[in-house]
Amino acid sequence: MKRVVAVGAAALLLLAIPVPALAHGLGGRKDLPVPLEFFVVGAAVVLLVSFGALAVLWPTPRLQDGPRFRGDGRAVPDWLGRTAAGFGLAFFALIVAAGLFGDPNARSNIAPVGVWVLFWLVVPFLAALVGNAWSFFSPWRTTGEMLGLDGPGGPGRAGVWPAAVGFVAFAWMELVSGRSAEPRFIGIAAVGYFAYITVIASRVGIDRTVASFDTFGVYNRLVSAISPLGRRSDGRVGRRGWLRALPVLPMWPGLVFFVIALIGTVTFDGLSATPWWDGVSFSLVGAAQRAIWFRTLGLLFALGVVGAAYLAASWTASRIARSPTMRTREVARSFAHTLIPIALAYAVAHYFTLILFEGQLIVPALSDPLGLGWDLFGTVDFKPNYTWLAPAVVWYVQVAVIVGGHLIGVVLAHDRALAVFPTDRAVRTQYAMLGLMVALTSLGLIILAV
Amino acid sequence: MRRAIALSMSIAIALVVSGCGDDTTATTAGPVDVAVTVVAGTVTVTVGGAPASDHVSVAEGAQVHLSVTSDVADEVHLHGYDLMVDLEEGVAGSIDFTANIAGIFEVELEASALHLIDLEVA
Repeated sequence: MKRVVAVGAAALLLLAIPVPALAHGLGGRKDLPVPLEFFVVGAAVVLLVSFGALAVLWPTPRLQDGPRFRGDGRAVPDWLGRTAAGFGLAFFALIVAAGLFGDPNARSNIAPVGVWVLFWLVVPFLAALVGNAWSFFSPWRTTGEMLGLDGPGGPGRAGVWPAAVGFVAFAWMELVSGRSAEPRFIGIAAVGYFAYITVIASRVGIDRTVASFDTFGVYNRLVSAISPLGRRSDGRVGRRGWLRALPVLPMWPGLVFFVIALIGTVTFDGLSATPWWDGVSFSLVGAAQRAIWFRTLGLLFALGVVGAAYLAASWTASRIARSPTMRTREVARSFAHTLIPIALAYAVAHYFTLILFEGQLIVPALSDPLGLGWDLFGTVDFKPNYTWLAPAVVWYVQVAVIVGGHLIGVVLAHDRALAVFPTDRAVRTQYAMLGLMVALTSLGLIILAV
Repeated sequence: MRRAIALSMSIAIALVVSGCGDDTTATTAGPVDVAVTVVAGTVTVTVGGAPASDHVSVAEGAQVHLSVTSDVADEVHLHGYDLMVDLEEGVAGSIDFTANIAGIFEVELEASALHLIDLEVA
């Protein structure tokens, strides 16, 4: 008992340590707020286009009948897959080595930029363009296959719940722990995650592990449903009708939570950087506004708000539809895929400058990944250039991405409503979802504008 | 339908209005004096001699004189511009620079990881 108390006290003490406001682990340049006029134009476009076009021009469902691959597709050559797998393993080993044994200064070590920029942002963003390339690179998948950890495919009864919880944990490390930039922290987390995945894979097989427990496997799988490229049933990669893979995404248990987590974590990141949050949190708890316990509550609060808004919209749609088979829970599951483009848009709008500016740190880091004074490619003195992208360009891109992601979400939701609700009420059930999407977009824009 | 439009319009208006947050930061053209004092981990900021919040705005292109005094020896780091200055206990150290990179940049004490100010260059 005494030991429990001691551990509890230690944990509380840890939570009470104030953390510096590190920008995603790699302090550098942060974006200027989007000016009000961009915000107003963005919101107006959202309202007008969503309302006008859909109800009039889109009377029947069009996207619900499968991905419609074109042509015969292409097989991924064995050597290419194996090269990618080898590269993934080597890079993972480099990150772990740099994390555990390299220079403890974040900007002289490849681990922080490798994990928080390449692995956490660039890889999933690319998945939305070219499909789930990560499945070839994934070092734990390769290891599991080499160890012959066979088993059934698909997520099984747990669905994607474990991966979703893992996503929140990862976001917590990045945004709340305040230690995310420390190479040692990253090294230990990487080894721990690898061990966790391998242990699970030895029990249920690597395929089910990647589909259910592996946060990054599931994350890339979800985002890759946006891509115009995908895997056909015969395993070849082919071009498919755009936005046709999202509606046929299986409604795994935990999918709703995963999507809420995607949006909620970015919302927290943006919100907690606003002067509004600064003022409110200071008046609530004073200097503890930067403490881990308070930021943890803030993260959970953001998840709760986004989740509650989505469930409220689902409930409203279910009430309007009066369909016995589409209660709140079924509606929520049925429309979860419509939030994936919005989640991606949120992430891109918030983080693309982090990739373009802080991502430049990969150039010196490649020459001296462990901070040992090497200069492999003669680029070790390279300094990131923070001026090559004008703030106005950043604002245009941010607003365009948020609005675009929202419009795709509205189209998908409209199409799904026509498919699952009685025709005479389908458009009306849309009001709730449309309201939600407009609210989410506006929230996304507000966060960028204050 | 009409009700829905009215509803969304009012949401939009409310959002636009709430977007108009007032900015409490001082913007000055010409040389800007930013002084930061750290006593027992507490940060106080003055801009041009007047007390200010920890979010300091300057115009792009302005000359900035950033001076930091701390009761513990440490190193000041202005992120993005990547400028540093070593501090001795109780002795002001300063960084003079031209604010020619737009964005928001963190200034912190490196060893104690203490956040001093966010410098907004716009």
